[in-house]
Amino acid sequence: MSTPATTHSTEPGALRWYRWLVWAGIVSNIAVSIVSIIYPAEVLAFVGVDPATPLIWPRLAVMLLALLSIFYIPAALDPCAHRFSAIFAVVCRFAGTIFFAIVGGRYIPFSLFDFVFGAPQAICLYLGWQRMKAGAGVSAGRPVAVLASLLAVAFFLWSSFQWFMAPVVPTFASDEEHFKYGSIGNDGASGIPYPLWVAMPAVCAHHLPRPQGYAAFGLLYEPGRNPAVDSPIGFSRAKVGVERMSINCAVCHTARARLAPGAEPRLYTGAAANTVDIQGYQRFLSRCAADDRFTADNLIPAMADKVKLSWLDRLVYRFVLIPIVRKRLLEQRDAFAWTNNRPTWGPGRIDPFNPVKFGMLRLADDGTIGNSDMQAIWNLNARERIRSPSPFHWDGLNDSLREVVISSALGDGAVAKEFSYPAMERIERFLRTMPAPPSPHRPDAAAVERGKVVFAANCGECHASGGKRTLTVIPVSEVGTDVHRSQMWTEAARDAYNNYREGRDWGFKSFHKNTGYVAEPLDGLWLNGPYLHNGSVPSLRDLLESPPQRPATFVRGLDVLDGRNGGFVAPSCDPRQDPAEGFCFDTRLVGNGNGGHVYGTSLSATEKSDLLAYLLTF
Amino acid sequence: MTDALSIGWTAGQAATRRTVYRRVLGFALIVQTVLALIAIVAPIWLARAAELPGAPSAGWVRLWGLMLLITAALYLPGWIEPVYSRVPNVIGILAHFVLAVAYFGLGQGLRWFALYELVIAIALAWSYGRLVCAELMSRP
Repeated sequence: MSTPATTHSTEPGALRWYRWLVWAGIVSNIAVSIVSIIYPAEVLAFVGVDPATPLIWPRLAVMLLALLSIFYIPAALDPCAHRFSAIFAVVCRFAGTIFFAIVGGRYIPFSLFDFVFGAPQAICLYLGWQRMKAGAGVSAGRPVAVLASLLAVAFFLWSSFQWFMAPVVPTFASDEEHFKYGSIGNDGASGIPYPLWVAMPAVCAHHLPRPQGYAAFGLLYEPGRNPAVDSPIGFSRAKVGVERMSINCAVCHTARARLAPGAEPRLYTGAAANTVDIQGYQRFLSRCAADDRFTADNLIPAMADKVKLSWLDRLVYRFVLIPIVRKRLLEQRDAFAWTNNRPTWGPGRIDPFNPVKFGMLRLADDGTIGNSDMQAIWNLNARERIRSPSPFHWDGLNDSLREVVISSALGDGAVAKEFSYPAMERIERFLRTMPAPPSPHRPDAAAVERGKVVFAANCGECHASGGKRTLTVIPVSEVGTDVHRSQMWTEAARDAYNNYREGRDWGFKSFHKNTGYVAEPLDGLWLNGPYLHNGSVPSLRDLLESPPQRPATFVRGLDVLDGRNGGFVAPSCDPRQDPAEGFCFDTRLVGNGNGGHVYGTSLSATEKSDLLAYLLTF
Repeated sequence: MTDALSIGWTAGQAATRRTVYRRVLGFALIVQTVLALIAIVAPIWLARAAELPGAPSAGWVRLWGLMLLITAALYLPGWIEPVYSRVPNVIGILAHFVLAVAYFGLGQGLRWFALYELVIAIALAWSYGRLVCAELMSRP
């Protein structure tokens, strides 16, 4: 039967401490369990971990925690009599420590909780048993205990830092809000501290194209939001140590349009961004960082104008964050130096893959130009009903939507340690079912009926939802449009992406090389201008003209719809002079060519007019 | 019959019942450990296969698995020396009953776990009761 191996009056002090620590652990566990069973949601929110659905899971977990705490009682009563229980009590604390440390992120406090009890218990148990072996009153095992204590403190500090730097991302009730403002896992890796981000337009106003803050780059703000301090669409505001601003998918996939110059603009989620100048925004950040005014003396007062800063914040920004952000932005400028030798992207355009090739995939600069129009990403389920698997991106370089969503996030700076598959799956679900907005244009009904016939005869094979070549890749030699975007995607890039294993095995296997462009279905066509993959033709009417007749230069980035010609209003311009609004796009530059796609150009004027009327209804 | 023979018989009975209890407990611990490892390694698969309540949540199912694993580890002293380490055994048997009630209350696929916990709890309580009685009877 059970007989204590040592009486409490004669036990070494270390063992007494061990017993007290085990009791303290039991009481703490049970206190946490009771509070968590009663207020699970509040406890989860307080600790900052992901919300659980349903709440029975955290309740079950803490109920088990209370139950297993009772198993510690024998060790707390007499660690000598219940040697195994004493050892297992320590082992189990370390199991919890290791488990939560591996899970990482916001779960690290749980790891620290177990560690705070486990490490001293282990040291006290070791010391107590050593002293019992050596005889009462003799100091034994002290060097080992000191070393263990130092290691414990080091681990504690490391874990605390990991916890402090773990991303706390905002959660959104609606999928659309998640798409517009949710994190894609790039906050820590490429986010800019929020107070600094809001201060930069004030400190570096002379680097803005117009005195409108970030709105000067066409970034979109929802009604009621204050552009001076609120997030534009396409930016997540997440805490990684400090609050940071970083881009997400919506920055390139939300458009703004209005029916007339004086009309109220409307925002269209999932549409190809028409106003956002992502390259201009990026260059502004780099230029600001390189500017002499990018100093703590200038930035901190500008930050304090917009955000409340404590003395500690000011200290950290002055000596740590401002120098680090400056260094990172200058590194980014250097990493994008290759863009200086290519045509400027302009609003609504991007070279989506060369930054990935030369950065993330570490391929050498091959001189290619991938400048292309941003794409609408709605109705993806319908797209897969037309053709499955369905090619994505202008050249159909991947036909797995999962891979496209994940690789796009990686291209925007997401990293493995911040990446969340559920967050990506939520975006994918949203995009699959989000419909294209109906056209607001109301062309003549009779012309539309006649145009339908012209469309079926001349365009339907490639662009009707039942067309036999719709969503297939049409060779460049056949379609004749600018070849550069197609040439940009190389076999080397394909192989590098399929073999990409940075941080984890991403499971890419669907990247392939095509030599043409996808014949896209026309849903939401009214919002997709300018047209062709490189956005080189301003209107549908121009697209029905032979290439020499198409405008050589025009203004991009305006948001007034052209209800007569299709697309957006795009006046002609002189590339040597910046227009008052928007960006002067020059089709004579390499990669900007407006040739090819001559289908329908030989139709009669009446047929073109009817066809245009029909196209305006998409 | 001599005292020596009588004591030898009761000690033999106690040894037999100790073996029975350890086998039942060993089986329960192995099942619990396997379940815990599956929950940690393949949480989504387990959640779907066992029709656990709610949307599959890898993190929380893993945490449940960890708790089961730790509980099994803390139960081990009771398996190693069931008579000497009575506290883990008594707590463990009560814990199985509590889990049976909790799983039943949580519903869906967890009701199968509730049934299993109840059967194991009864088997453990019965065999441990017999072991304790036999052990007491074996003492002069």
